[in-house]
Amino acid sequence: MKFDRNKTFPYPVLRPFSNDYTESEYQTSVDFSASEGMISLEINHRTSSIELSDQVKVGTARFVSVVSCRETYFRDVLISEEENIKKQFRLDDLRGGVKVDSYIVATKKIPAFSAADINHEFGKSSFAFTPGDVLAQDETVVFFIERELFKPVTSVFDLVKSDQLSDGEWRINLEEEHIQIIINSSMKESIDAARNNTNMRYILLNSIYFSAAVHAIQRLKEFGSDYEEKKWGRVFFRQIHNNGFDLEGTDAYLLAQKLMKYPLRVLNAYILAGA
Amino acid sequence: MSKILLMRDSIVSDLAKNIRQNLDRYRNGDFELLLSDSSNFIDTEFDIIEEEISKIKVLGDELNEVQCCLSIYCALPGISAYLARDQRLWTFLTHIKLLPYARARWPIPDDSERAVSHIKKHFFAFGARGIERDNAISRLWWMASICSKVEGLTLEQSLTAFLYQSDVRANIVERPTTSQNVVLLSAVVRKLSQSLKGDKSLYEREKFRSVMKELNLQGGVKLFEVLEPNEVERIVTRCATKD
Repeated sequence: MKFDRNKTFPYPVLRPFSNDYTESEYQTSVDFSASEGMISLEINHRTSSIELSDQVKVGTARFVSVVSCRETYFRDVLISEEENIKKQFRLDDLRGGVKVDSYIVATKKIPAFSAADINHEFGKSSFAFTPGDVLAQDETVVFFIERELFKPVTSVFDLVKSDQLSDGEWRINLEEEHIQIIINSSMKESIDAARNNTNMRYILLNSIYFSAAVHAIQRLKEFGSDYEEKKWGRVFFRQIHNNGFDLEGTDAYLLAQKLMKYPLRVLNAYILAGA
Repeated sequence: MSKILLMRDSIVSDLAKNIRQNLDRYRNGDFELLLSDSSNFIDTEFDIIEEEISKIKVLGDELNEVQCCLSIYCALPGISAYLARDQRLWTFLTHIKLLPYARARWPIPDDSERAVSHIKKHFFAFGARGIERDNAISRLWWMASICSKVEGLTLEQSLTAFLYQSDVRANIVERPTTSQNVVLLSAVVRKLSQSLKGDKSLYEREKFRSVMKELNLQGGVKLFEVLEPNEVERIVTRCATKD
């Protein structure tokens, strides 16, 4: 059941953007983390409606979260009398957008439900519910799963050689699945060798990779839809979404620092501080 | 038994760019040459059961879809849904392992312009539609995967009911509320299976659409996920028998 702020139910449902209840609120928070092939999900249901909480306490209603993934046809239903629900899922079962829809749902007959702050426009003070009826619903929370999302963004960067470029000159190509940093053969050899050394890697991270990330983010800000289907575009968009960053409202160089986990820190810790 | 290989992104990308230059290969040749350089592929731990692969074929005018779905599902045991959304897997299969099937099932038009877009659609697996509906092989696996969740029928029985009519199939697949909810999906496919053995009335385009519409309405106010399976079955029966 999709959350739709314009939808009307034939009975009061406690929802955001609705005045079915004049005072009470129902909110959920969803946190997820990934490790060793598993996704851990923690969902917290909160309502200020004493009447709805009471229904959960007496066992006629439950907190319910439906976790679904369109790409893998995965669906799991978490039903609990506890506000806090934790569950682990196999990473193999999820890919792309994962939705969490949360509700308080009648699981047994409730013959006469009433609450002090139900909108008077319903014209009656008591409502009968049967199993499956939604009593409260929160907005859908979406997060994205892809193995690349748990790797550094530089995992979608490729070094590509072109001998049309002079020594030291480089270009960026955003039209392929990975971001291509194009350099000439001798520079590629030097950089490939440097990547085997940790300290050198930090220098590269703060030079060409950082510049390439800034350029890519700037393009996403200007022409985002052109890159949605590219792997690098998906990884950038989804890492920005999952981390709660603001693509439109943040300068590209600041966003690049966040996505790359502040690369200047490692340069300072391992090279500058020891100089 | 061999292992599943994933075609590298760069190779998929090169093939997609060079469809026109490779038209002869798509029509009459093969892409076995790619196998001579192992760096074109990424190894996986998953087996391919060659015996099942050999059963994936068009039989004259008979598309043999149910058997092909069963065989591809059995040929790739243990692959995860995550891997099954990977275009590199399906591009490997349509270009290497199952190229003869792909071109028999989706004959390549004579006109070069049309041939290029046809190949891009059925021999590659770009985007969600590409994987679920268009790629010659991935569509078979995903249909089998959806039907494997149906309770109370064998995989062959549910595939037979599911594949009987393309409009019915599309109506189910395109409604995640039905296709993802095992209890609801099972009830719907069981009803289709019963109808298939009888008067087939549920396969009438308008009839099935109205059933799905009614289910959608019911699911708009009731969360099917918390209902007992027999209650879901009752709702589906009510929707299916409503005039």
